[in-house]
Amino acid sequence: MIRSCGNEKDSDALVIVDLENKGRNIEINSKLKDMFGEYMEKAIIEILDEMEIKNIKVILKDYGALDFVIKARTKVAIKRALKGGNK
Amino acid sequence: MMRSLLISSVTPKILANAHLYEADYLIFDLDKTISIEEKDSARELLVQAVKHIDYNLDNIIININLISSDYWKEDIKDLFAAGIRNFGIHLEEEKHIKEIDEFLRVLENKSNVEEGSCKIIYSIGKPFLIMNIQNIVMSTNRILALSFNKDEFRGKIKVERHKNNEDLSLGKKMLVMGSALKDIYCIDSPFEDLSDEDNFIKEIKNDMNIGFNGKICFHPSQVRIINNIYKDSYYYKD
Amino acid sequence: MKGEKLKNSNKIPDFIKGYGKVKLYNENKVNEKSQDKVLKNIKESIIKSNLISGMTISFQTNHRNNNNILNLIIEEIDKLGIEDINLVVSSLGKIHEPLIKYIKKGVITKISTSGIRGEIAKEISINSILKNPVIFRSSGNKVDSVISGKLKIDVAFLIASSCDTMGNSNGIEGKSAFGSIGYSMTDMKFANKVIVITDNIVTFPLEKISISMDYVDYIVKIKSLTINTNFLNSIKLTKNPRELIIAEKAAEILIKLGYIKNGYSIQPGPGGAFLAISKYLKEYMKKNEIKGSFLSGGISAYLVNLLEEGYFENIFDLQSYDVVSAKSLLNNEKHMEVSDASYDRILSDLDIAIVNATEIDVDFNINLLTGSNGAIMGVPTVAQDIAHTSKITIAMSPSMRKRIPIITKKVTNTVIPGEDVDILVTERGICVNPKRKDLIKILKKENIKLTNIKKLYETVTKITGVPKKPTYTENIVGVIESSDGKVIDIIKQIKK
Repeated sequence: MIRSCGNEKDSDALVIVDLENKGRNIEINSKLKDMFGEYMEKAIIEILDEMEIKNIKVILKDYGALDFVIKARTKVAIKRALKGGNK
Repeated sequence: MMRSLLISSVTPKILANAHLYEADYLIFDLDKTISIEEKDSARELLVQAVKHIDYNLDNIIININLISSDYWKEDIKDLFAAGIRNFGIHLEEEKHIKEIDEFLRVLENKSNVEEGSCKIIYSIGKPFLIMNIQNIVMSTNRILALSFNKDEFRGKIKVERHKNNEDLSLGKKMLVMGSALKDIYCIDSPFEDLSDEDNFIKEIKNDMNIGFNGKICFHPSQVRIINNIYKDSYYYKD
Repeated sequence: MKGEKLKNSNKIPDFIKGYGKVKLYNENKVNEKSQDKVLKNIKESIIKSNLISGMTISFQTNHRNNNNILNLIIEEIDKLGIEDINLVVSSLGKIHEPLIKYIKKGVITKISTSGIRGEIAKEISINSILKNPVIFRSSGNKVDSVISGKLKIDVAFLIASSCDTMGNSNGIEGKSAFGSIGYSMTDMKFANKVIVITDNIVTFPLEKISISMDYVDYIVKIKSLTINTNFLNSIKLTKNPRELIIAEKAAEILIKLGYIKNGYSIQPGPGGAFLAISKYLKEYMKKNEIKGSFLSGGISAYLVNLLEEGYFENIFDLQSYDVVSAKSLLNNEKHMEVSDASYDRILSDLDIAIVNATEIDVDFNINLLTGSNGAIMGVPTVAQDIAHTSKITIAMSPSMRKRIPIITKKVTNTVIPGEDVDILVTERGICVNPKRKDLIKILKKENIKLTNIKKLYETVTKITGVPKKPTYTENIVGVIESSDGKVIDIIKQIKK
C-alpha cells in the first residue's frame, strides 16, 4: 500500500511510504542532505520504531523541513497506508 | 492576562515561530482552516510541534473540530497526550457541554491528571446560546474564556453590517455579563482589515469599554497594538 | 647649421650644457589636435589604455547588479588575446555568470573583491576555477590598499550616467542615473588609466561634477547602462513579521541604552529587516523630538524620506540603491556623495552600526561570506569597517534560516571578529558580548531579558539539529582580510 503525506513546499516535506517492502528502506532527497541527512533519517527511524514498522520503503522529499515536520508527515503517511482503502 | 490571542494556521513555517510574537495566547486551528482530507496530517503536525518546539504550553489553545464532527475526540486525545490542556470549541448546542466535560473527565482520570485541569474557550455566536449564557456558564467549571463569534451572530440576526458594529452590541454585552458570573475572560473575534489600523484600534477600545478582556487577531503585527491598548485597561491594572 | 631654419634666431647648437639635446622648433609643422577622449567602443579603449596580460583592472558594480558591462569588458579583453588579469571589483553576482568561462580559460586569474554570489561563487568554492585565491577585502581595506600602493590598478573602468566630452561625469543625471559614484573615486585617483563608460554623453561642460575630467583618459558610449528597469523600484520596508519583531527589539535596545539622542549617527543598511529598525527609531525620535546627525552607507528610499522629514541633518551616500536615492542626491544638498576614502574617515564618527550575520558563533565572530556548507555566497562590503569603528555594533538575524541555525559553536569562516560585535538580536533571544559589561549592566536595569549565547545555541539547535560541517580539500580558494588588511581567515575548496 503506497500512501503519502505532506507538501512539496518551502519548509515542508513530502513523505511517500510503501508497506510492501522487505525490511526497512529509507531514501532521502534534500538539498540539505549533506548537512542534516543523519537527523532526517533518525527522525524517520524514531517513528518507524514507535509504530513498530519492520517492513517499509520510505521516500523523503525534503524542502528544508524541521525534524518535527518530517516526523509528522512520516507518521501520517504510515497511518494512511495502514488504513488502506481507496486514495 | 489574555489580552491578545494570535490565531495561526497549522503549517510548518508558522508553527516554528508563532510563539515569538509576544501574544498572550496562541490559538492553533484544526477546524475551519483544515480541509477534510488533511484533518489527520494537521493534527499530527500540531502534536509533533507541541512536542518539539519551545512553546509555553500554558498559553496554547487548540481549536478542535466541531462536536458534531468525527474528529474532535481524536483531536483532544492526541493533543492532551502531547501536553495541551486548553481547547477552543465552537459551541453549537448547549447539550454538548456535558458531553465534553465527561470526555475530558475520563481522559484526565485515565492519565492521572488532576480533574478539571483541561480548560475550554467557548466560541459563541448563536443568539439562542447567548440568551442562555447564564445556564452555560453555571453548568461547567472548565470555562477559561468566552469568545464572541461575530460572523455567526451576524448570520443569525440577518441585518446589514453597521459601520460602528451597533448590530453586534447587545450580543457582545450579554457575553460580557455571562463572563462576569464566574470571572471568566471575555474576548472578541478578529478584525479582518489589516490595512485599517484606525478602525482596528477603535474596535479594541470599544470592546474594552464594554468589558471585553482581549481580542483574537490573525497577524503578528496586530499583537503589539492589542497588548498596548489593553495594558491600560481597568481590568488588568494591578 | 640647423639654426638657419628659423628666420630671426641666433645660431643654436645641437647640445647645450645644462639643458641637454636640442630639438628645434619647426614652423611648418602640422597642427596636431589634442587627442579626442571619446572612443568608438570598449575594444578601442582597452587598446588605447595599453592593457596587456598580467595587468590589474578595476570595476564597481551598481544598479543593484542590473548592468552587465563588466561582462562586455572581459569579453573584449579576451578577444584581444589578453589574459592573466587581476580583477578588482566591488562584488560579483548572478549577472556575472558569463565570466565563468573566462575564469576557466585564464583570462582572469586573480580577483580582489568584497564578496561573490551566484554560480561564480559556487564554481570557485567547489571547482576552484580561479588560478589564485580570491582576496576578500572590505571597502575601507581596499581603499587603503590602493592608496598605499599594495594594490596597483593599471586600468580603472568607471560607470557614469552622464559624461561630457572631456570626461567630467556623474551618476545622478541621465536616463540611467544610479546615484553616488563615491565608491569609484579612489580607483579614479590612483589608476594609471581611467576609462569612463556611459550611455549619455553631454556637451562640455557638465555642471554637476562627481568625477573630474582631470582623472579621465578615455570615454566610451554604449547604448544603455542597464539591461532592465529593476533599479527604478524603491527598496521597501519589510512586512515579514519575524524581521519586524527583530527590528523592534533592536530599536528598543538602542533606545534603552541611550544611543538615540540628538546628533546621533547610524548606518542601518539598504533594505529588509535592517531598514525596518529605522521605522521604530523614527517613532521614538518623533515622540521625543530627536534629530540625528547623519545616516551613512547604502542608501534607499526610506532613508531619504527620513532626511526629507528632518530626522537627520545629512546623508553620506557611498552607494545608492534605488532611483529615489539617486534623485535625492541630485536635488537635496543635505544628501551628500562621499568618496570611498572619505567615507572611511567619516566612519570614525559613526555611533551605531547594524550588520547582518549569515552565521555567528558563541564568541560573537560573524560570517558574512560563506554558507554553513562552506560555499562562498555573500557580499559584506563595509560590514567589517563599520563594525570596527562604530561605538556600538548590533547584529540582527533570525535564529534560523530554513533549518540552518545561525548560531554555531564556531563559524565556518570569520569575517567580523567577535570583539567588534556587541549585541546579537534574534527573534528568540538577545545576547550581549560578555566583554561589554557596561551594556549588560544598563540593559539588566532596564529589565531587558538577555540570553546567554551558548544557551541560545542549545535552544535553536535542539529544534534544527547541528549541521554537519563541510569537508575541504587542502586547496585555498579564498583569503579573507580584516578591515586593517591582515589575514583573518582562509576559505578552502569544498570536497564534493
